[in-house]
Amino acid sequence: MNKTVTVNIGGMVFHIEEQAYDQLKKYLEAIRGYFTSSDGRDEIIQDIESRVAEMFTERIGSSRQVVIASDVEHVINTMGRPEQVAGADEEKTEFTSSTFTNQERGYRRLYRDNDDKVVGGVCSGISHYIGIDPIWLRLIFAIALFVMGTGFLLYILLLIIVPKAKTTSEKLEMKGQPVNIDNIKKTIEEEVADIKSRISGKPGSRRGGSSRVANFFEAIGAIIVAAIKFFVGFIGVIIAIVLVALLFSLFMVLMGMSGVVGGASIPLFLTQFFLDSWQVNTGILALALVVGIPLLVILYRIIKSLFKLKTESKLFNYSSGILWVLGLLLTIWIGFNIASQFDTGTSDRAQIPIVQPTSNTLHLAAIYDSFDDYDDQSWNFMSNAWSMSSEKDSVKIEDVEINVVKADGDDFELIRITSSRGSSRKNAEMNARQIVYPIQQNDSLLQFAKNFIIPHGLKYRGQKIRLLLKVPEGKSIFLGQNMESIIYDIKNVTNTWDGDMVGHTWTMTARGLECVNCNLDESTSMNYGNKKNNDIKENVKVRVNGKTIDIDSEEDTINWGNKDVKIKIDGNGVIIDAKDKKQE
Amino acid sequence: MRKGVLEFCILSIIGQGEVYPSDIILKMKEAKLMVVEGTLYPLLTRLKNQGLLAYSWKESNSGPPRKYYTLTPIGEQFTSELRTTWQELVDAVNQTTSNNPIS
Repeated sequence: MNKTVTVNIGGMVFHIEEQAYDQLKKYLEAIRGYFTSSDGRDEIIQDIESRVAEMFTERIGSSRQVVIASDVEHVINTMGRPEQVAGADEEKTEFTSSTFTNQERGYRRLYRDNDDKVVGGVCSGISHYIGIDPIWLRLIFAIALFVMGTGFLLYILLLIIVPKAKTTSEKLEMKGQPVNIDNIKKTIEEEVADIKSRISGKPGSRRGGSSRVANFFEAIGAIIVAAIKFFVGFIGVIIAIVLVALLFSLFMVLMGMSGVVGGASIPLFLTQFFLDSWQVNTGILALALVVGIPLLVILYRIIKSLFKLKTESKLFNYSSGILWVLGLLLTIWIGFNIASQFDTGTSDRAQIPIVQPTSNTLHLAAIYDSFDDYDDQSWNFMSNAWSMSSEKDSVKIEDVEINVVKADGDDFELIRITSSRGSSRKNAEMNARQIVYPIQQNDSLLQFAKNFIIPHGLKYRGQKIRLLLKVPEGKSIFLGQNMESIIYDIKNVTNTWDGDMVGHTWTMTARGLECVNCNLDESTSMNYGNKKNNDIKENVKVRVNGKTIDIDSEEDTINWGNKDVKIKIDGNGVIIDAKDKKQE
Repeated sequence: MRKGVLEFCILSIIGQGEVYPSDIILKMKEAKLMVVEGTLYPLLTRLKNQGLLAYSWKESNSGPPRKYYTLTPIGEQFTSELRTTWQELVDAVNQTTSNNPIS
């Protein structure tokens, strides 16, 4: 006793056993699966159903009332298996040997399933390929979509690379045997059998007696070729993974640079203080094309060979080629464009009015914290310290140098030379003038900022500040200790280096700057290096043969005729240095 | 190749007069051109969609109404074209495969 259901097949009512009904339904569903709506799926199914109804009527006759399983089996045998039904409708692929063997062996190819798609059928295609429910892949892609757009990128990539299963044979290939261990084993066994048959079979078919040996080597060769193929495939997979990682990181970097994902420090510095945002964006695009396209093409090739994709996408080849060349041109153009912004250099020379000090000495000092709030970010660029204020959207740069020379007249003079580069002379002048660099004077105290400000809206175009202090003869300057970082190679009589000049008063003489309160001259400072304890603590004069020897706590100086002779006695021994006496 | 032949045969059968699928199947099975019936329906649908065939419903004595197929003018033209091609092919194959020594 079996349960029956009542069905309408092709406009006729049948009582059919439940089991038989399931079988028939599955069969029709399977056929349906091989066609697309554009193939006229519904009509085909309708026709087949009509025929099924006809056959059932014939089979049942008047003797019984119910369709049973054997009737369904008869129908299926007469109509043919779903693959056969679909196989007859080969539209594009001819019945060539390659498709035949592929179907025989059950190779599966990766296609996009257009019949079961949400977006482009990528997920369902992959699910056919690896044999899992597409819902999981869709879930993964959906999640990946929110993980910074990775899913989107990957999906687009697959959409481009993976062909759509258009013809029935492609659909068959898409749904063919799963690529699993069993099938791989089977394939290998087949190949081994093939090799075996080549070793044992057909002796003498090639070169008579020696064929056995020849065949043996041939077999070895075949094995080696197979091994190499496997190895190449393996490497291909690894390269593909690396490429995907590279593309992904490139994508992320570009996203980061264009500010889609949180701000990185360098891009901010680039966009705000170096380049216009359109230049940055164009540069990013150009870079993405130049680097990304070759990666994409290699990835495409690998995926194609790995999944044995047949289609050669001309569109992909041409568009990738064109895009790459475009990217290259864009890179060159943007490079020139940026370079042109630095094309012309100019310097703006301005006399800064200063009040002559009441005393004859001008005290110079550097201010460290001349500008507040520039502490959001700092970095070193071109060996100058940069600090940024995001609130003010401007940057301060430590590129200030001061030099001291002799004045022509009787007054102190201060000259500020601001240099900059720009696309034109006018532009460079504008870039130079807009930077902010205040100088403060408080009677005899002259204060210099260590850095200048590039205000909001102005770009960095290699601006720098050079100061020139002209000291009249007979007047002095005192270099504050913190001046060390901004004074630059100030010429002086004793050739003392900048670091040693600070903390001393220097008087402009006819010969140049001369130190007033330092008692180390050139050679001592060079040879002994100890500058800190300059004060004479003892001063002993010893007369030897009518010559005077001056001895202080650390070094001995002998005035010998018109020579200055210095003697240093320390653990290293005795150093004697003689030179012409200074002319007063 | 084989596909084209199948189409040619079906079109020719229909060209001989209004038929319904079972008739076609019968003839094809006799000629051993078709192993299973199922293959016919997709072919017919496709040929119809290509505008080579037209059909009309006719009542049958036993069972539901049936689709009777006829050739459209385009179908007739196409069939004659196929016939010419086929004849050329047959001649060519015959000529090449016959044992006549090359003169």
